[in-house]
Amino acid sequence: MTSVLSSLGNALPLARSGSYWFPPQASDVAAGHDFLYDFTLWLCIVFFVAICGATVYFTLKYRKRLGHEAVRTATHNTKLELAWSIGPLMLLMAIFGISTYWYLHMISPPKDEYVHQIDVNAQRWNWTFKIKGEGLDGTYECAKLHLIKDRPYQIVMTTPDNDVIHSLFIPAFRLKQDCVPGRYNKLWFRPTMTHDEAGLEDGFDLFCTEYCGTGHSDMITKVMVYNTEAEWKAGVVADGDLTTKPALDRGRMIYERLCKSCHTIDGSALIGPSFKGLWGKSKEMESGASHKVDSSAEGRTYLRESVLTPGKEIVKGYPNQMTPFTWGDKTDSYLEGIEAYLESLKD
Amino acid sequence: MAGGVVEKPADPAAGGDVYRPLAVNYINKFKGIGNWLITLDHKRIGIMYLGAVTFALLLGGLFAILLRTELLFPGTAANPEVIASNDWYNKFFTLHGAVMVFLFIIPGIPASMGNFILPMQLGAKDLALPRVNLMSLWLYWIGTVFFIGVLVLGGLDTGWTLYPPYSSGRDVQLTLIFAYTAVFILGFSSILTGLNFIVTMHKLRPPGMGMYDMPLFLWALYATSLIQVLATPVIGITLGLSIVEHLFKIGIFLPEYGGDPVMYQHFFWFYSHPAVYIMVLPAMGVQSEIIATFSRKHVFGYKAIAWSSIAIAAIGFIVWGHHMFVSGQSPTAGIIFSFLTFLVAIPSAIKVFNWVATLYKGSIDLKTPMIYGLNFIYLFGVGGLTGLFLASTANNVHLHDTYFVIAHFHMVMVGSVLNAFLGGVHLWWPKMTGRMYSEFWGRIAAIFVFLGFNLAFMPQFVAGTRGMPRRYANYLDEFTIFHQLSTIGAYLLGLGVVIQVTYLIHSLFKGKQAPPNPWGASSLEWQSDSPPDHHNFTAKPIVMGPYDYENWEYVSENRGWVLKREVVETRKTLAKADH
Ligand code: HEC
Ligand code: HEM
Ligand SMILES: [Cu+2]
Ligand SMILES: [Cu+2]
Repeated sequence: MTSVLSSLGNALPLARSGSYWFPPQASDVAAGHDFLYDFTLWLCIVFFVAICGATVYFTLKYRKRLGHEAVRTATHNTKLELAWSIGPLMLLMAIFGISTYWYLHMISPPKDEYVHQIDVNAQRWNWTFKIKGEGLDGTYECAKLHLIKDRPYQIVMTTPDNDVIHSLFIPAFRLKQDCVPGRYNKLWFRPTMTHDEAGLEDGFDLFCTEYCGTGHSDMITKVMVYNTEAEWKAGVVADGDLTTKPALDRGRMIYERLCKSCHTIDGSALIGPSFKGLWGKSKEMESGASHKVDSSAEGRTYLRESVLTPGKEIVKGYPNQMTPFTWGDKTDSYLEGIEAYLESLKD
Repeated sequence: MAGGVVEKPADPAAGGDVYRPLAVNYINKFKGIGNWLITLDHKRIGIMYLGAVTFALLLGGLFAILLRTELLFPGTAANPEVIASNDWYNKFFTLHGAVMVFLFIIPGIPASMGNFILPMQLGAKDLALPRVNLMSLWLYWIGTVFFIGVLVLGGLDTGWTLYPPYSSGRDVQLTLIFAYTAVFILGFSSILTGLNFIVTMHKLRPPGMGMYDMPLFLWALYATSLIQVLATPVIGITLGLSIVEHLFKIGIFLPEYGGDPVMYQHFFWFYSHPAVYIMVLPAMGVQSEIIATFSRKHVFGYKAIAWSSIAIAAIGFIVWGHHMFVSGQSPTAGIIFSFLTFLVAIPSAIKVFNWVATLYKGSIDLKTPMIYGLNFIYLFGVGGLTGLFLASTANNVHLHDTYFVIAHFHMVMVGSVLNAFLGGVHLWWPKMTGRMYSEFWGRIAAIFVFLGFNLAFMPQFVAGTRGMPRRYANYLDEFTIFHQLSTIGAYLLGLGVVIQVTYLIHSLFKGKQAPPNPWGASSLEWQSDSPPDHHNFTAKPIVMGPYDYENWEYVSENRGWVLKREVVETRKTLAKADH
């Protein structure tokens, strides 16, 4: 029967799937999850076939026709009714038992091993994975989740107070956990397969599964699982160190990751003013002064201060709500990127 | 001639004896729309509800067709607009869910068929509190107007679940206030109906009819009403708290004031899980009537079915946490909720087994309502059993908020509730309108509904297990095939409903006159005329068991089924002896 299912599976375009039902089993809880699923599925199939089979059989056998009358049968039968209540109850308890066993495994990180921690920040509508560890000079803020095979990881996640609930879902790991503003939720796992082994060059899918508005269905990124620390480090640096990218790309990526939740590029105001047409436009400040962003020395200073110490000058009509950013020795490079990006959005 | 109770049983051989409906019935007794709007007659109120919920069903259905069309092609972040933008999609899925849940499924069966049939099954003239009934209808309409306001004022994109901070954490939108108001008012409508039903069943049962002599439809309505009265206030309180939070800036649900959004989810599901049983229990009640009637058998395990309704209502109150396994709620709570959720599956299973056992040695007549009855067993089978995967914490973590959940609850809510609704409409159509619908088209439409339904939702299970998240306006290419199959299914289902509306409306004008009892059913409403008198019965109905089909005999298409002469005579003697 499994072969029937898998041949059925082959008939459909399933290039990226591990089994008919599921993506590849890429974490150490995936096999347990799939076993429980199959177990429940087979029990359900047995009951379903019995119920529908009996229904169809009775419907045909006792169909209304000439010379056939309904027979008055017992109106109840306590033994039978007890049997079909208690029997299924036992089976349900079996499912509950297996389920709880695996669930306990899912929620308990190993105690006798070092568990690597990754902080995750979910914002409308992107993910930031703060990755640090041996061989890395500091924390890299990555857009993808980079992991090393067979190591246990603990994810600690949250979302800013002025944001909304998101949920981190990795189907190949069979895991999911909500990111709730005002809380730190955690999730641990141990990847057991690299994305290459799974035949997925771009990595495993990572979705947002808690509805969060316009960009919800685009809040998708990838999980990269590597065999070696060297590969992993290269991946993290390539993703997290934007200074290596061309200025305009760098600017766009910074915008996508860090600014998009408050600034639009379509001219409409969100929490802050839109970036569209910002370039070269003189703006009045709360203090009465006026400033504009452009490539002149004053323009650059204003942009720098706006990003690093946004509380210094507040654009008239907007709240003092912008997060101050600090990027250490990457600051100049990042500002250069932002400048290029803003210029590309001028009217 | 008083309905099915004939003084002189017809001689089929004579042939000439035809059923003559009442010249004056509840429909034509008073004329003018004004009379309808202020009527206290439960039948007229039931009919108006039926019209209103059908309107909601068609509106919600139209939204669904638009959504499914948008999902025909994946769309991408760069170019999301297959038909329209992400924001458009988000507004329409919100309205689809809200209209279907609050305007169609929750009030659906109880307010329309419950209102019409409940007093008649008790042999009563009306509900115990007719004015309260009228008020509940008016509240329903006011609530509907607010929902239409949401639509007119530009829509709302929060999802029917209205989770904060997404819903209430932003600048307060007018449409959100409208939606809150609508849900609040509809809640009162629902509470009043429930209260009225409970009182009626306690106070207006005729002498000789104990609780265990009521048709199972009434037991189901009784359990439903209990939930309506006990759970609905919670949703009102929740929305009230959210308003208070905004006005006084005290933290309840919003993190910016120090509140906890997960608390809202507890409140919300404390109402909304029981609400799924508000939806399904009446459907199960209709199902019991249909299965018994069209197999001409006493329902097997009457008490088990009756008490399982109550058990579902009771356990249903303590399983809400199964919607929140991954919200950050404590894992211990998760395990307890999982356990309780498994328990609630048993009473549902008992009902299914009993229906199947009822078919045994019956005489099964595949009239349209019975086709819906069989559909119900199948679709509820799929829907209920897939609930078991979701009840398992270990599987739920993967399946939560994917298309698997969408498929699961559409199987139960649309599969079972819509099926029972359509089955019930066909079962009682002759009684309510006095007209027979076309059996041929009825069967065709039922088959369309069945096929369309399966095609629409079966592929969604697979999309879900493979990780397709719900509420996505765009999706990855790998899910395309499942979405396309599903969309085709939705079109078929839509076609089935259109066929149905067409022939039912046609029957109002061209349908054959219905006899008092076209099906040979035995609950008391079938002893009235078709359509019934303003006071329901022109003579006191003879009280007997709801499933005593032996008391009836078939005369002719025109006369339908009439009570056997011996039955009428014995009862008369008994009645005399009593005095
Ligand atoms: C939490 C919301 C938020 C985030 C995130 C944010 N900003 Fe702002 N931004 C604001 C607000 C509010 C203002 C207007 C008030 C002020 O001047 O501080 C503003 C103003 C600005 C201005 C001045 C605009 C003008 O009209 O002169 C610039 C430049 C700017 N932000 C750049 C950025 C960049 C670059 C990023 C991403 C690295 C970013 N902001 C991220 C909220 C935000
Ligand atoms: C009897 C009729 C039923 C109805 C009307 C129903 C309805 C629903 C609805 C509306 C949802 C999801 C709502 C949402 O997230 O927006 C849901 C989810 C769920 N149902 Fe059911 N259901 C029924 C039966 C069952 C049964 C029998 C079980 C288990 C034995 C079950 C278990 C669950 C679980 C665990 C979820 C949560 C899934 C998740 O979001 O992760 N349901 N159901
Ligand atoms: Cu999201
Ligand atoms: Cu529930």
